[in-house]
Amino acid sequence: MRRDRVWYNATQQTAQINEYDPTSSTAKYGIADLVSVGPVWFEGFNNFPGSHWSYQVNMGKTFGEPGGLENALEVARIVMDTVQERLESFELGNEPELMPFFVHRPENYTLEEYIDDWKSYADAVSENVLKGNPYGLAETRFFQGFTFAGDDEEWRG
Amino acid sequence: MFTMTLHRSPCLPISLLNIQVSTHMHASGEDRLAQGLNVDTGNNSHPNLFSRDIFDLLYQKSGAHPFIRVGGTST
Repeated sequence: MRRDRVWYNATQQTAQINEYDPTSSTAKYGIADLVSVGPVWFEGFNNFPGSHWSYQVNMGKTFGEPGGLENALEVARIVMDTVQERLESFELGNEPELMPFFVHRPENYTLEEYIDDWKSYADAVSENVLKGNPYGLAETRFFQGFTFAGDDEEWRG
Repeated sequence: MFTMTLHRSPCLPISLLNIQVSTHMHASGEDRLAQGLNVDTGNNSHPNLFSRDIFDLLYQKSGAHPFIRVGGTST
């Protein structure tokens, strides 16, 4: 089980800090409840100069929280500026049907609501990150979606 | 997916990317290797040459640089 939980802190010296809530359902699997990343974290993208990339924008833990969207957009912007023309796509959120289980969405969260969320984030990334980019990246048709866990019949269709 | 904990105390800043690697993703659509893992990438001043060598080996064996998906826990 994997969730999107990254938070960018521009003043953080350490590349990555994982914070665990011992009462969470995922801590026992070594999965952090919050992953704080600083500028150094993005330098890791430079280690594989020939590779192309897909990056998943956080649409999980911080969705709907103050500054959540803006922080996710900032991360997307830094990733784009780091790997530039080798960025192939942005993925928006991960395994959305599990989000209610991790209290990132209400219990009755539906596929239709996920699509609305997905479209709002896609619009925001297009307008605030991809628009006018100097790397030749498409401004709108640049997204991967529907990365389901695959166990829920209603979401599988 | 497991990640390691880094503390705020002074330490070598490293980057762990939770990535999924595919040696083929372009027109062929073929995925010969699609594996989720955490990779210690290092940083600009201390690049992790070991993980870079692994990726270079994949390139030499497959003829294509690995495509990398950064997603899941770390993002």
